[in-house]
Amino acid sequence: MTALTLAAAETRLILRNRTVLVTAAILPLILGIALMNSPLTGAAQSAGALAAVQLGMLLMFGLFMPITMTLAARRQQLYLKRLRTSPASTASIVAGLASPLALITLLQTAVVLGVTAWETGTAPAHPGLLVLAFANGAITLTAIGFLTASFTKTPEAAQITVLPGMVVLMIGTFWALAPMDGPRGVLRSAIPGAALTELATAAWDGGLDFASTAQPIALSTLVAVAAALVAARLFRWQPRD
Amino acid sequence: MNANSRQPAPPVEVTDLTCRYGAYTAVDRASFTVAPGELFALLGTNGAGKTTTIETAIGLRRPASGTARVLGRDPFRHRRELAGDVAVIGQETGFADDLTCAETLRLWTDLHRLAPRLELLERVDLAHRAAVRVGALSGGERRRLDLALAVATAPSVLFADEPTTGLDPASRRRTWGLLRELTAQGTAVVLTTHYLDEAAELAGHVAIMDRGRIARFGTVAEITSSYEARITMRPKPFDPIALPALAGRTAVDDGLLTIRTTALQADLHRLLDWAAREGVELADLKAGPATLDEIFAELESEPAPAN
Repeated sequence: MTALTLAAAETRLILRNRTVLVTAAILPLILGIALMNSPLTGAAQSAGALAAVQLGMLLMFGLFMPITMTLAARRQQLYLKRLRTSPASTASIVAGLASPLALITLLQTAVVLGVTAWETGTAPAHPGLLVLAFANGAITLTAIGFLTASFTKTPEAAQITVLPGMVVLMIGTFWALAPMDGPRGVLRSAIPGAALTELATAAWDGGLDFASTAQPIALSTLVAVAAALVAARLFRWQPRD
Repeated sequence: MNANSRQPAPPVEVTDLTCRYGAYTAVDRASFTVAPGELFALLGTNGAGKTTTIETAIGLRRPASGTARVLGRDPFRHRRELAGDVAVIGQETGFADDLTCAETLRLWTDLHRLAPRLELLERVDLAHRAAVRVGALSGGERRRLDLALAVATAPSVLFADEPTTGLDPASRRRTWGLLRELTAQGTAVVLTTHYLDEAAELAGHVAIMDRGRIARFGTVAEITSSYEARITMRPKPFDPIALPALAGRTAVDDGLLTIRTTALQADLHRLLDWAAREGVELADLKAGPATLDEIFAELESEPAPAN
């Protein structure tokens, strides 16, 4: 309820800021579609791999970076300090600020993956699993964004502080394109972005039963919860003194 | 407050509160209690520790030592439970600039799960600005919107951190009126201010903070009466040797005669008699208790307390 209230307010704020709206809506969309023809993903082994990379990039540019910057900016404006004097919980504040961004990214994903399906003449084998992959990625990247914002002093600094997270996400996303079994495969699923790729690839190409998706979901959820708990402890709700 | 006591906990109880930023001690063993319906004023210069005390009492900071309890609870641990009963007016309002006044008030009541109370905009004279974005409001209008949000939740405790700074005299009086209404309804108010007249007008008790510690405590009258009163004037013609015998100490600076005295009425009487007898004009004559500026200056001239 509280998160919905905050999400509605945040949606208004995004819609009223044309620059933010255009940047948040258009740029990731261009990136997602451009990836279809890039040499890197053009050589992807399957339509599922291509879709997974697109989803990873869309979530990284549409959710991870903006939520980090939004948290830093709202803190700078003392909006977060104000919310901290309300009954809103930590989770509902972060969820309230992240959900409009997640919704925009979801719409972008639908467009980009629709184009991918049309271009490749394929369709996701398990659409439900694809939705689960998106939800899993959105939760993980929001948590990582919250953690990144906890050591980001200003909105300007966010341009730099997101870089380690981006590198880790890209490693996770691309590394997971190749099959990997055994303990190394388990460890890989824990890298942010990897579970997203594994789930999205399986959702599009098939070949992974629902039971075997439990491992990447469980590991990435564990990583997201750990990141959120650390962030909640470190996060400052007003600008640093 | 003993947990087993039958007495209800005071709305605000600060005991030996110490807050630090690294090696710097911002608040040093501050203690005070605020009763229901009481307005308690924390006075002090910038950096005296007022805002840090308030931020600790509303649960935004954890104290280094000592305790701050609000309605009997630790505000840091029970921030969410207390939020419905505690309102805050900060030095900076922290509104989202692209929301309108009405949307901001609505957001606030929604977060508190209360029915919308847009009529409050009228009470703070902002009804005509309901559809205007907060970013387009003047500083005074923002403070008034902040006040509307504070009143909207009918709080048991209100922390008001310099709520009238930057307000015009009419808005200042309106704010005072709302604060009085709240205390009449039983709300305990902790007010920080730079203005002694504001504290004198509103507060039952006052604490003056200096370099993190509470240096003076009492009513405004008690505090000002503990300092020497001042008489200032420019006698014309002026011969310091011809002055009558006074109880107070005299000092002359650039033709301005200042007398610091504990016997204001008697010394003033002697001076007026002397001026009438000798045909001396007492230009720029002023007489009264020590002002807040003078009290702050005296406190600052005192040596820093040993830790």
